[in-house]
Amino acid sequence: MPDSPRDQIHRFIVELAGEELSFGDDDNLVERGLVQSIRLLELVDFVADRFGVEATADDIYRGRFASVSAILRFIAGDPA
Amino acid sequence: MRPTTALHVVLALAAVAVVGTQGVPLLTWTPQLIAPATLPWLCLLLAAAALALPHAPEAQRRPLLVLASLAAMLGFSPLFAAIAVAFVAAAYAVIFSRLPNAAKLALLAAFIAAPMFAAGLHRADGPRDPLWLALGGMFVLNFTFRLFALYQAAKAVKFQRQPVIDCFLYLALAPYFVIVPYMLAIPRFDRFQRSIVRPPPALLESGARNIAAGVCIATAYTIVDAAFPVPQIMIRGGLEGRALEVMPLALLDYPVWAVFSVIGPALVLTGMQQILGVDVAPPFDRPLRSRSVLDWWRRYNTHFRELLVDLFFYPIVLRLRRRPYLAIWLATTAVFMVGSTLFHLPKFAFKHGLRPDWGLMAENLIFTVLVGVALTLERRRWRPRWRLHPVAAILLTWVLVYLGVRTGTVVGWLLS
Repeated sequence: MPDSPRDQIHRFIVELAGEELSFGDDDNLVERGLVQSIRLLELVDFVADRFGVEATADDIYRGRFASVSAILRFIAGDPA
Repeated sequence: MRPTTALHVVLALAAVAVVGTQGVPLLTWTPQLIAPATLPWLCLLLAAAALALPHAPEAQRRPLLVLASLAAMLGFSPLFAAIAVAFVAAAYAVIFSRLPNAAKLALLAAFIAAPMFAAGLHRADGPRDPLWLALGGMFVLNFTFRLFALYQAAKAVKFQRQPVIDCFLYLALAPYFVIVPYMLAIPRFDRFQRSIVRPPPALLESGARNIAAGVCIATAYTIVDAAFPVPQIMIRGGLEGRALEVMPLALLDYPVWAVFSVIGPALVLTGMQQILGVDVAPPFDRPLRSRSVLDWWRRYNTHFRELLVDLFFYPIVLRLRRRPYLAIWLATTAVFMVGSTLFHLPKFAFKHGLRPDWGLMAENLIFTVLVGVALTLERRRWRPRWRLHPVAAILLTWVLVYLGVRTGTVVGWLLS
């Protein structure tokens, strides 16, 4: 069975960090220092390429890449 | 509110009033613009507002804050109050208008540039009128950063109209315009909106603690600086041909001295907002522990950095997603050479009149290169074969930051 979007995103974040990480779906990725500036942009690229959802600077400002849950909601088209 | 919390707030503000009137620079550039004698009055007003707010119903909190802000404005200068209210009204009309974004940005920039140029020309023409410079300086320095932070927040929600009272408070909340926060302690608008109505429970106590810590650090800095003024010792040593002798002090100069000079006021500013219910964190995240220039850039004055990144960095890199290295360099250049330079212009114009700030441009050029290289290496996932000892990495970072900033200072001296 193919990985769920959640698992794919988790795995990509671990790949970005280059080390084994432990974090929850609601953990703030930026505040915990897991994903910053260039890594955050690579995550945006990954979501665009894998799930076909292009993000804008305003999406980042609104925290739509702040956590795995937020990214999943963004992919699902949740306007919140 | 617990009685001990109330006592802590009162004691912290009393300390600000006492120490501030004795000449300790607690509120960034304020002493250049207003008399320290104004401080006790402001602290009394802040204490009254901070102690009354927790007892006010949710619906009454914002009107109470508006009253406190207007009272502080009128106490400072009725003329300033009138200009500020007109300014907020005009800014609100522009931001939430149907104009194209570029036109909105141009108009907002004009709002800042017009008084800046007027004050700059006024200064260049001859004797300075203290009231005009005080009003102009406070007006421009105070509003610049929050104006563009508000624009950014409005843009992110596609310019859905926000309550005018929230925008007024964001730009003109009680302590802001009297303490000239310039680029320190800028809250995010959405968090600001939520917290002034329902502040997190521990905010009041945290605010009192930050004010007290800021007063202690600023006082300690003032005492140590009077006894051992590192920047002046270095300049004197250089002029007297003892450059090598004073060189080791470079490690204490910008990264340490400048950081301690600004952390105290930043904590006081943060605390003053927190006791009024504004959810804002201190803008320095232990910068002296930075192990690289990039780390320093992420820890030093974080609110200003976030504003620059939101306004300049992300829009460019996301538009050039398929050309990541070009995107990194264009975005980094925009952040430092355009964003940082423009945001620093008002301060420079008020201090030195209307002329180019070559020193700042040189400093920004150096940081463009340093940060651009660091981001490029990060994008390439470059890992050094050797690993510096953490202490060596920290010292190297201090040296690089020192060289970047002070090279700018020297260029400024040479070209001015």
